[in-house]
Amino acid sequence: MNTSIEERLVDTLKTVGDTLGPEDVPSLELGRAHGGRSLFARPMLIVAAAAASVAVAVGGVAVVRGEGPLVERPLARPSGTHQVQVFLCRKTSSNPTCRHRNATQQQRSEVRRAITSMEGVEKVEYESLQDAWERFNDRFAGSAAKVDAKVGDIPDSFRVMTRTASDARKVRENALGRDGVDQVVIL
Amino acid sequence: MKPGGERARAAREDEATIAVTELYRGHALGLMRLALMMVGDRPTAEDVVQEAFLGLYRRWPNVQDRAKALTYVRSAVLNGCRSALRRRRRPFRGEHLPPVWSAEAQVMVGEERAEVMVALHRLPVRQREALVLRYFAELSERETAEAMGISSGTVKSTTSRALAALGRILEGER
Repeated sequence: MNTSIEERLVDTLKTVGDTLGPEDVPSLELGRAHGGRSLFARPMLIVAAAAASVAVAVGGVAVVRGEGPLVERPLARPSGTHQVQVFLCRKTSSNPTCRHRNATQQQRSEVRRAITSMEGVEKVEYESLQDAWERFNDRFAGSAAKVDAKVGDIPDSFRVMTRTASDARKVRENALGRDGVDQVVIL
Repeated sequence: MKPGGERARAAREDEATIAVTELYRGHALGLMRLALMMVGDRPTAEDVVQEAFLGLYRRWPNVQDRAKALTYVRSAVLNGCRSALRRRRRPFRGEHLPPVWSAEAQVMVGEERAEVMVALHRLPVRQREALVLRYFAELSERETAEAMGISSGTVKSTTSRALAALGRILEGER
């Protein structure tokens, strides 16, 4: 029994880890001393700034609290299909390629066109901000995990069905890095 | 002209900068991911890792064994995560209650995995640390023990308790 739990855990941690890429690593600001300035003067300032930003970040984070057991099962996946979800940029996205802007309508059309024309892609569905928010609320309605999210907190996306797992990976490669695309997740 | 003491200090600073920057280049991403598992949000994970490396830089003159630098910084990241989690638990300044996993991230990783993350965040911090170090960072029991500052035996028992608890939560049992 533990084996399947271990597998699920490894898969989850790997996927969650992959949401951070090398581009997300900021440069290290050691604040080297120049012109005889003390070695520690700048790092201390940076630490103070970092501490301040923690407080802001904590205040702004959506909350998911778990008190009771999680009993819902994931949505059933149509057998024989593989799903990829292509999340579009939101102002709040930390992905630098999003430049803190929402994906434009034109970018959205471009992404859809690029994916739809790929071999092995069976269906492309757009999930709007409103849809995403509703699905998220439905998913956790009555759940012990309490969720605090507004429309717009959950990014809009394309749900892409592909024939094979390899097609799904190709969609991921194709979509990642396009203007207006934040993250791509193979479900 | 710099006085001699000043020059020696500048040389030490250079050495520290090079060594710490190298270590950062090789390990910052892995440690940010580790911190993300522990605290559940990216800005905090980023800050915790930056602070850990700044701490290493400040203490560099006292770091005798360079090989231990990674162990030091890994422990510093875990400590930073614990502090961040503790800060959240205090309900002052109108902060939200413990953020476990952001709504956005839950959607990003898919629902099945979000369940695992929510379950992971209901475990005691020590148990979560053990699971993340063993199953994500793929550290040995001994390395995990060093990072957590406990014995290898305790790592073993903590890990198996944590796995069992995770299994119970995911199966919806109390």
